[in-house]
Amino acid sequence: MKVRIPVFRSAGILTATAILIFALAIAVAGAFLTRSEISKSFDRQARIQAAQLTLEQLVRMQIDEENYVRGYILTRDPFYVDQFDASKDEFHVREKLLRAVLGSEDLVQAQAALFDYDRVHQNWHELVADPLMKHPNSSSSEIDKISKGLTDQQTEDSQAIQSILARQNAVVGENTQEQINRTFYAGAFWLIVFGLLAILFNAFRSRSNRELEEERMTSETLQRAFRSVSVPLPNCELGTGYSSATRNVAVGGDVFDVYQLSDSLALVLIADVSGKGIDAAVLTAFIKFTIRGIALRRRDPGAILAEFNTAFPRTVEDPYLFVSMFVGILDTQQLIFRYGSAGHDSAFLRRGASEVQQLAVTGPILGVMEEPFGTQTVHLDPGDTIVLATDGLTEARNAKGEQLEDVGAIALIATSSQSPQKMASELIAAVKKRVSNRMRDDLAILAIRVNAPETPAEPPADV
Amino acid sequence: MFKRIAMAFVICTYAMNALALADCTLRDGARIALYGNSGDPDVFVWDSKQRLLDYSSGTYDVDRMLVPHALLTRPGTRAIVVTCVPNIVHPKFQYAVDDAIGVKILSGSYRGRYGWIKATDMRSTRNGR
Repeated sequence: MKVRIPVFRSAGILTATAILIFALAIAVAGAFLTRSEISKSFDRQARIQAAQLTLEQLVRMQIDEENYVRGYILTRDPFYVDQFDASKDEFHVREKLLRAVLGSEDLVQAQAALFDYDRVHQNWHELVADPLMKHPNSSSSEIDKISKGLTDQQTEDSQAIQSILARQNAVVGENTQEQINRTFYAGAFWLIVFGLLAILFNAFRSRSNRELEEERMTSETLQRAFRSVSVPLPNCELGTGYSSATRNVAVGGDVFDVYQLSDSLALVLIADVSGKGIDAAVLTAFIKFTIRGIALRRRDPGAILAEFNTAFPRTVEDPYLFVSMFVGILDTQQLIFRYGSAGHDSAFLRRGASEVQQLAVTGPILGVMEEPFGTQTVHLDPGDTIVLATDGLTEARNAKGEQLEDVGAIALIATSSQSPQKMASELIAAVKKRVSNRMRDDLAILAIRVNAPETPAEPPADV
Repeated sequence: MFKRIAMAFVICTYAMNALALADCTLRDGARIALYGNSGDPDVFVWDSKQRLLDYSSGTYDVDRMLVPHALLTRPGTRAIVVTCVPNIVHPKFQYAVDDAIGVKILSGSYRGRYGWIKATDMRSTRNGR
């Protein structure tokens, strides 16, 4: 039977996981956004500081130009003329760079001061530098006055720009610090949130797992108690195997039973309940002992199934519970096997060493409708093996999701060992290998190999 | 140890000198030397206090104000304090205020002329106080 994690548990875990992922996504997005903002702030600060340096270079270049003029007046060396011309070009390049930064920062006052600075610089060229470079002898106290006056103006302008840039740099720096502080606080907040969520999630998961494990332990204990131990039957060898699904899901309701009804007759039962957990485990007990009770009165498997089908819905109130069941009465003296199958198609008969045939279904699944259940009779030969399994065998999926199906099951049985116990173990191992040890379905195997009777066969009396 | 004491002495001297430049701390008759700053040590001596104030606050009329009404003195020109008006000069783009000092020039080509300077355009000499 298929087993699933209970819906409320999986929903709880999914919700908690979704909340964690959502919180994580918000935190990561926030971190990236803040990082981007801080990066922009640092870029702005770097631009402003570069502008401050450019302004200092402009002031220095102005002093250099004055010195080139003085040098030329004193020495008449054309070297000073070349230096003076080169400095003029360089001055304009740097002035443009500075203007671009002031524009991008929207510093209107600084832009006005720079405009004035440039205008005064041009005046200085027209009124002082150019006349002196052309006529070095024309130097006079008047030109010196004008030169100093213009230089004073430029000093004022540059101080104004420097002061505005320094103020802007401080403002941006404060903003950056605020952003960094905000990031720190946000980080601490999310750390606390994640911590709390993780603690809650872990507590919920631990509790859920503990409950599941307790239920599973109880179910396993019950199932182990209700499952038949190996009962020695005359002229028969028995093999059994059982493997439950993964540990983190509730165990299912697979059941098998071998019960000696008389010296020569034995009840053989295998069933699969569409439930899980303790309810299913208890139901397996109900099935086992009810079928035993009916079989003590009735020896016809079809009749046993029909009577159980009548009693089942009256006893089990859950309308969604169904049972697939195979019931057989084995005559160990006559080697006759009579069976009825209520929708249970995982039943096979291996003739001799390798010929395997499927035992046909003789009626619908129990608990669905009141239908007659047929009985089939099979005459066995010594060495034949009846192999009964639950649907964990035929529905075992490989990595591609392909089920083993009846054909695969028949092939496996055909190549299994002669010993019933070895065969059961091999089938379990083959299924585990196919599903890579991640079983989603319980699997029960019951194999009965009949041998030649020790006493001569007599006509069946109990059937 | 000696170096530390010498350094402290130098610092104290500078500090006292700086204090002397603020709020008309120089008495009338104090001897001073005119000196702008290391980048531009020349000093304008204005023929009226108002023109000094106008120029300092950003009025740069070269033809009508600077050329006819200001003397350009060389750094180190000697002068004597005649009068002082505290905290009246408001430089353009600056929060700080400065004193306006009336001086008589004692050396150089303008010896004997009177005029007005900013307090930051002079240094007190050793016997200035």
